Amino acid sequence: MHETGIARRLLSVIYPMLDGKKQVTRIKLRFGELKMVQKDLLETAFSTLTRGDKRFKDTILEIEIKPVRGKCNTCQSEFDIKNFEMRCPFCGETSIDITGGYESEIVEMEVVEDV
Amino acid sequence: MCDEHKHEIITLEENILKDNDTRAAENRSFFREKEILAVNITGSPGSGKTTFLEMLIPHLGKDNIAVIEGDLEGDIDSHRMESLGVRTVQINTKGACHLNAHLISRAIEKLDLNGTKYLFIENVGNLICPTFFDLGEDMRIIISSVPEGEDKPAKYPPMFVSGSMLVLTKIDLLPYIDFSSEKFRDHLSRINPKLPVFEVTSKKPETVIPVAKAIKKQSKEPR
Ligand SMILES: Nc1nc2c(ncn2[C@@H]2O[C@H](COP(=O)(O)OP(=O)(O)O)[C@@H](O)[C@H]2O)c(=O)[nH]1
Ligand SMILES: [Mg+2]
Ligand SMILES: [Zn+2]
Repeated sequence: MHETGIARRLLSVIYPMLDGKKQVTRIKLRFGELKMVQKDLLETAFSTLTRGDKRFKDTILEIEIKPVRGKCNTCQSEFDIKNFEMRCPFCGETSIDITGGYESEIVEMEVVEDV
Repeated sequence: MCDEHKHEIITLEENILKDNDTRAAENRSFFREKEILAVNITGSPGSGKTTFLEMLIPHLGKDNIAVIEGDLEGDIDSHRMESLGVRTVQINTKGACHLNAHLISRAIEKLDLNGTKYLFIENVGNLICPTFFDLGEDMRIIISSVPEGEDKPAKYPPMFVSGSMLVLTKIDLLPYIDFSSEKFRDHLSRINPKLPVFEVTSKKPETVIPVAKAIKKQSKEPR
C-alpha cells in the first residue's frame, strides 16, 4: 500500500499552495506503469487523509498512466514495452534500456476561489 | 456552473518523489565516497531474506559488512545479525510497507561504517511498494522462494524488472512443491533477460558461494 505514502507526499506538495483557495476540485497525476499505482487505493488513501477538510470534499483525482518505454541497444529503435516484455519489436533483440515508465508526477490542480 | 466562483488551474509538473529521490542521490554519493557497495534486499515476507544474509556473511567477512534491517515492528532480525557479530541498525516502519531514502540516511548516521565494504539493507517484505522508492543503493537483490510459486515474476513484474540479481531460495523444497523451474526462468527471461539467477538452500549453506563471488565482483574497493 504505497498509495498512502503517495497521497501524503501529494498533500505536502499541495498544502503550501492553497492559501486563500476554497476548494480543490481536481488534481491531475501522472504515473509510469512501473510504479504500480492503483487508482482506487490512491483515492481511498487520499480521502482518508483529507477527511473533514472541506477544501478536499469533492476532489477528483485524474490519473494518467504512462507506458514503459524502451530503447533497443542493437537497432536503436524506441518503443512502448507491452506486458513488460523486454524484447525489441523491430529486431527481436532483448538488450533494452528502459527509458520511461518510472514517472510519478503531480501535473496540475484545479481550484475554486470565492470572488 | 457556479458563477460566483472562479476556477483556476495551477500547473505544478512536479515529481512527487522529489524529496526521496534527492535524498537517495545523496546516499548514493555517500556510498561512492566511502567505497561501500549498498545492496537493497527485497522479496516477500518469509522468502528467506534474513536467512540468505546469515548464509552470505561468513563468505564476505563479518567485519566488512554492515546491515540495516527494515521491518514493520520488532528487532528479531537485527538480533539475528548481531548474534553473528555484524554491525546492525533496526528500522521499524510502523505500518509503512517499504523503506525510503530518508530512513536509510538516518540509519547510516547510527552505524559505524569504518572498514565497511558492503552495506546490506533488508527491505520490508513486500513485492510492490519497495520498487517505488529508490534508497540510493547500488544493486537490488530479489529473494524469491520456491513455496511462493513460479508465477511471481509474471504477477509482480516491476519488482523483477528492477532487480540486478535474483536468488531463488528454499530449493530443498523442490521435491515437495509443484514449482516449475523452467516456467520460473521463462517468466524471468521475458521481463528481465539479463538478470543473473542463483539457487540456494539453507540446508546446504555452501550454495551461497556463487552469490558471494558475484557480489564481490561488484565491490567498490580499489583492486
Ligand atoms: N526449508 C528451508 N527453509 C528456509 C530456507 N531459507 C529460509 N527458510 C525458512 O523460512 C522462514 C523465513 O525465513 P526468513 O529468513 O526469516 O525470511 P524473511 O522474512 O524473508 O527474512 C524461516 O523459518 C526460515 O528458517 C531454505 O533454504 N530452506
Ligand atoms: Mg527478515
Ligand atoms: Zn532492435
